[in-house]
Amino acid sequence: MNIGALSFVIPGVGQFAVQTLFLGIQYLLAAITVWLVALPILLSGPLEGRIIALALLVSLHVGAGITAIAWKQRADGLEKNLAKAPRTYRLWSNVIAGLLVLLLVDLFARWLLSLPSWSAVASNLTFILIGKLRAPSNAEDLWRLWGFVPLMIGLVVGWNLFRAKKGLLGLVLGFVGVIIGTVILWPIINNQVLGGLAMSVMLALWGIVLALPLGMLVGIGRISEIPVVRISSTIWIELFRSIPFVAVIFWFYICLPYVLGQGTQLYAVVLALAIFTSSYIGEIVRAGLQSLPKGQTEASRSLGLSGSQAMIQVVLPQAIQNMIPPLVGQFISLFKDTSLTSIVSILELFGAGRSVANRLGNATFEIYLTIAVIYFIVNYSLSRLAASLEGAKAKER
Amino acid sequence: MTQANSTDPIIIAQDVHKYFGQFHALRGVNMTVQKGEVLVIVGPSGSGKSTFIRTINRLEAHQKGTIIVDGIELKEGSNLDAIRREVGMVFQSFNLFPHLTVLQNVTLAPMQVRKMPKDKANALGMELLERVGISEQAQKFPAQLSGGQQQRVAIARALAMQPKVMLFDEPTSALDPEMVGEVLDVMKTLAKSGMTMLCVTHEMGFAKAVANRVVFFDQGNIVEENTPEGFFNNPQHERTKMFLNQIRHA
Amino acid sequence: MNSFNPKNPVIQSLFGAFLIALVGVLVWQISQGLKANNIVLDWGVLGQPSQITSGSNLTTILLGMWLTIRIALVSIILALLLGIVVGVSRLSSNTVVRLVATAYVEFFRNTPLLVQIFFWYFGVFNLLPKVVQDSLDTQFGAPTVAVVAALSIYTSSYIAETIRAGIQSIPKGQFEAGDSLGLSGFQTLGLIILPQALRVVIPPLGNQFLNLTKNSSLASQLGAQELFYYGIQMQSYSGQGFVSISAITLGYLVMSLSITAILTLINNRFALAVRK
Ligand SMILES: Nc1ncnc2c1ncn2[C@@H]1O[C@H](COP(=O)(O)OP(=O)(O)O)[C@@H](O)[C@H]1O
Ligand SMILES: [Mg+2]
Repeated sequence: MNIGALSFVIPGVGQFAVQTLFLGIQYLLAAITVWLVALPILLSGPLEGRIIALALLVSLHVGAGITAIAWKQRADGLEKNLAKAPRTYRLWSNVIAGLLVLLLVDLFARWLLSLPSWSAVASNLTFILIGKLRAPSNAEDLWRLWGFVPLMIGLVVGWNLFRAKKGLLGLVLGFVGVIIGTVILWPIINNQVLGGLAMSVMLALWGIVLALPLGMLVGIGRISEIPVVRISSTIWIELFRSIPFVAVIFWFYICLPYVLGQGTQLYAVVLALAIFTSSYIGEIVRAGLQSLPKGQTEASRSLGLSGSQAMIQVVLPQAIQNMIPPLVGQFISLFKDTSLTSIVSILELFGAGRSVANRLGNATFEIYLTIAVIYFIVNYSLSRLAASLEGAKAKER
Repeated sequence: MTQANSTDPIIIAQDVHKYFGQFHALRGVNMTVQKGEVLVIVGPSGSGKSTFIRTINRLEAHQKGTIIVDGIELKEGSNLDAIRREVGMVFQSFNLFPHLTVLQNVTLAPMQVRKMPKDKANALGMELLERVGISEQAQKFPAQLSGGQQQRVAIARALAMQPKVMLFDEPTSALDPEMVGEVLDVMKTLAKSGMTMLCVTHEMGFAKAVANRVVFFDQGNIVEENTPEGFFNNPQHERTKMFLNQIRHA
Repeated sequence: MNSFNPKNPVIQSLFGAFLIALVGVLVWQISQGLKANNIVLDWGVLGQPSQITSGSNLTTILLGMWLTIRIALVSIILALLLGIVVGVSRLSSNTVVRLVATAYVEFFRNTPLLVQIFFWYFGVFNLLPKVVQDSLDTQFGAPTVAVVAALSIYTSSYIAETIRAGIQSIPKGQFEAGDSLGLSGFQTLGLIILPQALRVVIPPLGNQFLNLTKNSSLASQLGAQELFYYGIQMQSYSGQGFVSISAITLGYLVMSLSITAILTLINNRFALAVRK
């Protein structure tokens, strides 16, 4: 009789008996958790919940027992293959943890579905996606949403050309697409009839279009040999990185009307997004440039290339490859930051959701969860993109 | 061995001092190099060999003394680009541009600096790659070549600016032993074609075959200057003898 | 050919003059706008008694800063603990644990902090048992609790990634060397891997602390009485927008710069000696 079999009865005890202390604690804790979660469900849960709970309890006890026996055999030298006990352990711990997670997900899903206000969320979904544009009174402007088509085509085509090392063509095409799209969309953006997700996307796009050149400039400026340029770029970068974005928004919100006149809070918000982001992009650019070995500049200079020729021909093309993944990351941050513009009453995605939540009163959990999920879908897709770019880069090496 | 024209100096360095902050790296170096001369520089690590040859195309600025290259004095505000066009350099770590093909590495400077048209630059590039024996690899990227091949590309790249002087900073010390020969062969051919060369290298065979003079650096200054035979067979200074003993037994 | 030398002092001063002129024009524009609207900048407002606390506006701002600091300190500690657990779980040999940790990191990194704050406050906090709600509210203030929860969880998802990257940055040979010396798994982790990983993770962790401090300004949206909140209140009571936002900015600058200074000290303490 293998003493590890004790674990069939009480998980963990068998492990203590064969003197694998750490595993014993682990199984004991697992047993307590699993019983606490599974027992109530087994007694009074929904059908699929009971099945999962039963499977969970069975696999806990069986798994603990089998694992303890395997370690005992290993300790006795019965096992020729020493790797078998850890493998058994890994298999069973995956099964148990997997079933536990499945059970919790099932409970959570049931609870979510039981919430009362999903229909209210559904009827407000178009407002969350496009804002006031969905109102019947704005129906004649609805066609302007087509402006997103040239915008997106321009961006996708431009991006791919850029990746295929046709940088200039890509920039031009991307820019043309953004311009056409913006011209179509402009009236509904300017009077803030457009809102929700569509507005967030526009804010982020304009933010990045303005922030990229600005960020390049201050990033290169930061390592310039010319003191005035270096110092002013450094102040720019450090200043905007040291204060919260809401403070930047308020600066522009308060100042801009005195420069551009009233009714300019949209410009204030776009400028704030662009300038705030430019300081972070500046740091990415600086790091990208400095990550190249010094030999690259030296070799270019020793061939007679001037400082700016070396920068444009040799340093930048290599550095840009390194900068793309963090730049995508910065774009994700920018997209998240657009949610703060709701503070100065721009009805972008979060602002729209907040106003729906206030109006409905009793659906806050559902609304904010929905909003979070929409942000997540957009940002997660972008972050996958960044990861695949990083993977492609790693493969090149 | 090439015959140096002994009345036509192309590099004159007088009392050159260089500091890195507090550290006195060059301590009054004097050297004259004649057109067509091949000079080999040896010396222990940290003795200032690299620093010295980097002052010759002003990758490092010196703080005291004069350096004149092909009649132009190197100082603040002088026409650096003009000098760098006259002086080619080959680094220990190749420093090829990884984002450009082998051929593009060679043609970049002629096209950007000399404004040579693309087809002419390509023809020149291919000819140079032919000369260093890797014209078949022209379309590959540096990372796809062996170390020896990369270093030969680096030599071709420097030659593309048709420099009057070539500087080599330990061009073979980062290479696997079996690749050293191919690079030295290219350098020997170059030496025999009459190129003025300053080579930091510890390859005795190379020095004996093509050098006119060997210069020994220690602690930021020249300790001994000699013919290759004299230097290796009959060194004058104690420090030279010690150093030679070390590299022979390494 | 080289006649244009940007280091030339004349060109430098011209450029500097241009920048100063640019800033000057902006300031002038704004001051004209202020004058046209009959607004006078009054720094004295800082000394006047506050409408919302018993002190002056200045002491109120400082009071807000104190709450900001407390929120930041508590949150960073919680975030660090959570982040370490999640980060190590990201490397677990248990597939399920790894997946759950990954989902956690991805979800909380890819949604805006403001949404999370509202989610915890209006969504989750209301679902807690009434007794718990009340006791948390009287003890810390409900908004503060929600903000600390949101900040810690949001930041922990970044810290988790930092920790994972730090552990992964240690060459495999180090683990093997530890094993071959006969150290246990925990000993290898504690004596060899973590001390090295610490060096890699300290700078990005410092950055996270900085970000967290700035992000705590969002607590104002729930009415938690920290720096940004009091600054904006001062603006709405006194009408002195410039003075108020300047005070806010200065407050955050002081905190950011102090944190940066402390981080630099810590970095120097931990840095490996390298040949410069
Ligand atoms: N950029 C630098 N900053 C500070 N010290 C340096 C720098 N470059 C070289 N040195 C120092 O100058 C000395 C000479 O270096 P180097 O010319 O590279 O020697 P060698 O090439 O003969 O090995 C060494 O002591 C080195 O540490
Ligand atoms: Mg050297």
